[in-house]
Amino acid sequence: MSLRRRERLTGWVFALPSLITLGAVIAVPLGFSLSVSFFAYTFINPSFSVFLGFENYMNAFSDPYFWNSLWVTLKFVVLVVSIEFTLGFIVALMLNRDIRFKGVYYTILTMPMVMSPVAVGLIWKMLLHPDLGVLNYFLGLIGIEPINWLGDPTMAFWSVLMVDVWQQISFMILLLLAGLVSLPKEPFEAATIDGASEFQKLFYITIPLMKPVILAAVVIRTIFAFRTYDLIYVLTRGGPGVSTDVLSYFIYRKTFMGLNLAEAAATSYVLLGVVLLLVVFMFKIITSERKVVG
Amino acid sequence: MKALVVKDLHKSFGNVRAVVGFTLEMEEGEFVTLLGPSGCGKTTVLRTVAGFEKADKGEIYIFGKLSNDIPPEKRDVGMVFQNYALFPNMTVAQNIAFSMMIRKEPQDKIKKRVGELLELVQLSGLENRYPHQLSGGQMQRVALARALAKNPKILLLDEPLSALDAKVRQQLRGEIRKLQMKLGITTLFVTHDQEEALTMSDRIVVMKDGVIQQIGSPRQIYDDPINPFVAHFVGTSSFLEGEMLDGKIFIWKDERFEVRKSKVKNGKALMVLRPTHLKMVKDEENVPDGSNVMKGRVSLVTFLGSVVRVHVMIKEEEILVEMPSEDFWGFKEGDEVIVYFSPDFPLVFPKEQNIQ
Ligand SMILES: Nc1ncnc2c1ncn2[C@@H]1O[C@H](COP(=O)(O)OP(=O)(O)O)[C@@H](O)[C@H]1O
Ligand SMILES: [Mg+2]
Repeated sequence: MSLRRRERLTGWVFALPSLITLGAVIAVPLGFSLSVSFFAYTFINPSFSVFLGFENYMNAFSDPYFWNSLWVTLKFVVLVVSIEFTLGFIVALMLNRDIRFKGVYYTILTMPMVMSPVAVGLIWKMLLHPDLGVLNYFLGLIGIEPINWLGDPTMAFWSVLMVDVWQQISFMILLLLAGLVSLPKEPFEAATIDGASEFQKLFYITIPLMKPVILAAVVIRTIFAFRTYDLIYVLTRGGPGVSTDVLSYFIYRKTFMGLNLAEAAATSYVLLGVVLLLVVFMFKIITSERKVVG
Repeated sequence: MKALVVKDLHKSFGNVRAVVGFTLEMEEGEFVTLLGPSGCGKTTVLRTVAGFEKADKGEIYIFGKLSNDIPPEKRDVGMVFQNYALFPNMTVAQNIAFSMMIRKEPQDKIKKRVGELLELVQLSGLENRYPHQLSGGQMQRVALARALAKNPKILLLDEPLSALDAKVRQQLRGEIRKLQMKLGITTLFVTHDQEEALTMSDRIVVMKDGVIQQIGSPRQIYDDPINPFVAHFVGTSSFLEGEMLDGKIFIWKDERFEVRKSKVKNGKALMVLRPTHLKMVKDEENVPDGSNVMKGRVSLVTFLGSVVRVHVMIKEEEILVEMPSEDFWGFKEGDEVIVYFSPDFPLVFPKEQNIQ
């Protein structure tokens, strides 16, 4: 056996345990749910006896609630990611200068990120309570009528959005800040000598240099935003009506309330497809970026 | 009027004294180099002149104008950084045009000026390339053109050549100097490379630990170093530790050398011998009268191209002798040789002055 082959074998031996584990916890369930999505597999009759082909997918597509959920999800994802990015970038820029109490700000920023979404949901549910919530209490002090934060179909969507931004924006800020901190300082000094204003430096240097970091941050947050589930579960259970019924919650309902495992599996794969498409699209943008010379 | 006057500049970072009492006056059109080991404060001086650092104490006058509180963009200086600092998302032309674009100059004027500058740095035809499509030498030329674009009165260069490979470095060295003379622009150049300093400058400022050691022309710095540190840092030298007698005789081990340039009258002393000041022969008959003579054995011969350097062991010390390659006639390792030098050449410093 040549050295090269022996080395390769050793590599496989070392990789095997983790490959087996990954296979067991990822590939097996994925494969299982994929096959489920093609059969009449329910909790009442959990068997692969009746092959349906794409019927489960057709059923999902013809369900108006599915389209509602897809629309709510897209709206939610696009809005949270753009709000978090815009606000996050501004905050990151503010923190990326010589200011006092940086440590304090970092600590405050990290707190929401390390909290469990369920806990965050419960806390906000209390804060947003129409009668007992502290938010309406303060609004009352300045003479504003109490708002039904989670009970009103339009308001509920925005409330969930706000809570999600509150919790997830730290991630965006920290990621962008890490990028800003590692930018070389000489291009900025060269631009300063040339008389560029702070805004011109932002547009001509910071943003172009930050592009890879920005795209990475946006991609990661997009993927996570598609999977938002626990917050919805705690705050609104998809309601009122179906106004906050994001796809992941819709799938949960189909599975555990509708007990229609097969159609839920089909919907999951549609969600996966949507996310993949978006991510592939974003990665295309990243990789078509010219290599940045440091 | 002086182009640049730096008066008693002090700058500390925390408890690191980066620059201590730096004073320098530059004539218009002069090329001055700050030379010293890494960390001796060269960059700090340059950045203070540019306006990126605030002086703790001292004044900076640019063409007569007190500039301590003037921001970098109003100082009329151009700067080239060690690692190019080009804008990676802009083409060569856009990089060079940056300052003009910021000042909203008309497009046709910008275009013309960019063309001129590209020609000046010999990059015509590359205007639409991006920095990552250029070699290191080309990037540094772009950086130079960008710094010159707004016609600065003073050009500041911080080790612009140290990231390049030897060949390109030597070529660019000459080009920068020629360009500087052609434009007549006052230039403050920073390097830790003594050869760069010697070949390019009108004057050299040798620094150590934030303190100026010596200011002078390359010739003065090389021939007449003010202390052992400068002698050690600029050019190659051998150092002999001994004792001075009456300011005329240097006693080293059991040898007695006659010297004419000693800063010590009596007591412990350090003698500096440049390899080019030493000559080497096989027989004593060939030694001119009045020379100082030592006997030794060749331990290594190295060929450096135009010169040959011979390491000679003399009384357990290694002494370097250099001669033009064409005068070298075949000494070998192990040969017994006679090394001699004229009393005019060696410099003798007090022993307490260290070379490091
Ligand atoms: N921004 C800074 N903060 C702290 N120390 C610094 C800073 N800039 C330079 N120094 C210190 O000041 C000294 C001189 O640095 P510098 O001027 O960069 O030296 P050189 O350019 O000669 O290598 C060094 O000891 C360096 O560590
Ligand atoms: Mg430096």
